[in-house]
Amino acid sequence: MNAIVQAVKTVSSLFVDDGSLALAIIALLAAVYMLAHVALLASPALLMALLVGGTLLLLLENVFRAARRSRR
Amino acid sequence: MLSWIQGGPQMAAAFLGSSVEAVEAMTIVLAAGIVRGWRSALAGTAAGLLTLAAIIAAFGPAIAAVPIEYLQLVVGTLLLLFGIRWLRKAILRSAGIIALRDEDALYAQETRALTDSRAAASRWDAVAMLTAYKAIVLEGVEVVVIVIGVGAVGNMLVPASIGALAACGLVVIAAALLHRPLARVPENALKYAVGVMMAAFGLFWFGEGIGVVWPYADAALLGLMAVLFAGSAAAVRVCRMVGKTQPALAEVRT
Repeated sequence: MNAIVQAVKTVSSLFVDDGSLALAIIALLAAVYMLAHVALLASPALLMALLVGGTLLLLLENVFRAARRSRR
Repeated sequence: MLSWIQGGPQMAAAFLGSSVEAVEAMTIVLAAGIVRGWRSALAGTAAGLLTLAAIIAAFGPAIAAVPIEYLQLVVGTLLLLFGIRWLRKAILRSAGIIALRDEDALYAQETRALTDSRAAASRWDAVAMLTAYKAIVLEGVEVVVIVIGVGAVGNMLVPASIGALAACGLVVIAAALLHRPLARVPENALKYAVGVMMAAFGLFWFGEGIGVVWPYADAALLGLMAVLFAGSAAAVRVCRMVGKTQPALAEVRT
């Protein structure tokens, strides 16, 4: 059992460094997916802007937070 | 001929990403081989490569059977997470918030740990074998993720695999010639570039998976890379201003 947990942890660490950033990105992708499939008004340009702009904003917020934390 | 031109970005991304992983694995295998003996270190390496081959053989056909739209969504999500993880770390390292990875320090640390190990080195040394095996499997899985991530969706597994194999081959040859860790490889710059590339591929595939038709088709990847690079470069500058000025935290290995 321990080996399985260890293996899952190792594999997840390939994709997740900061848990809050990973969760935020997954939430963003889910929101964009819903918007693309549910909201008929969602234009491709809006989806692209949300996808690219949202990812970049989440990344920037995360690194700025890390930088501020390191100053304390 | 056209497919090879189209496969250029995939090959470059796989080459750069795999070279980082190969350098990390090689540092550990070198330490195991020099301290505990080459026979056991190479046996562990061979066992690790066999395990990787088994993983590829098991998951390769399964991936081929997944419908393209689901593959785009899943691979896009995983690739985006993978790329953002590298990009985040590269930004923080470039800004001096966390320390750069130091292959020489890691080699010394690994050598110390292997020397201090209680088990005496023998003809078949379990410590060396296990150390080399773990390094090859852990870093190798990352190479497999990179190759599948950049190559699976666009039917570009062959150029991606060639890029990865070329990187691993070059690192092995360099390590065999130098007989020491490849400390001069600009790892953070490579990680930065690969992070940008992987995140761009992730956004591109996920977008295609939800039905977005990117302007200029595959060339949109270059635009995505440019946007991510510009945003992250700005982040490095701001983080330098916001962050502390004292020496970076001792995060040698992550």
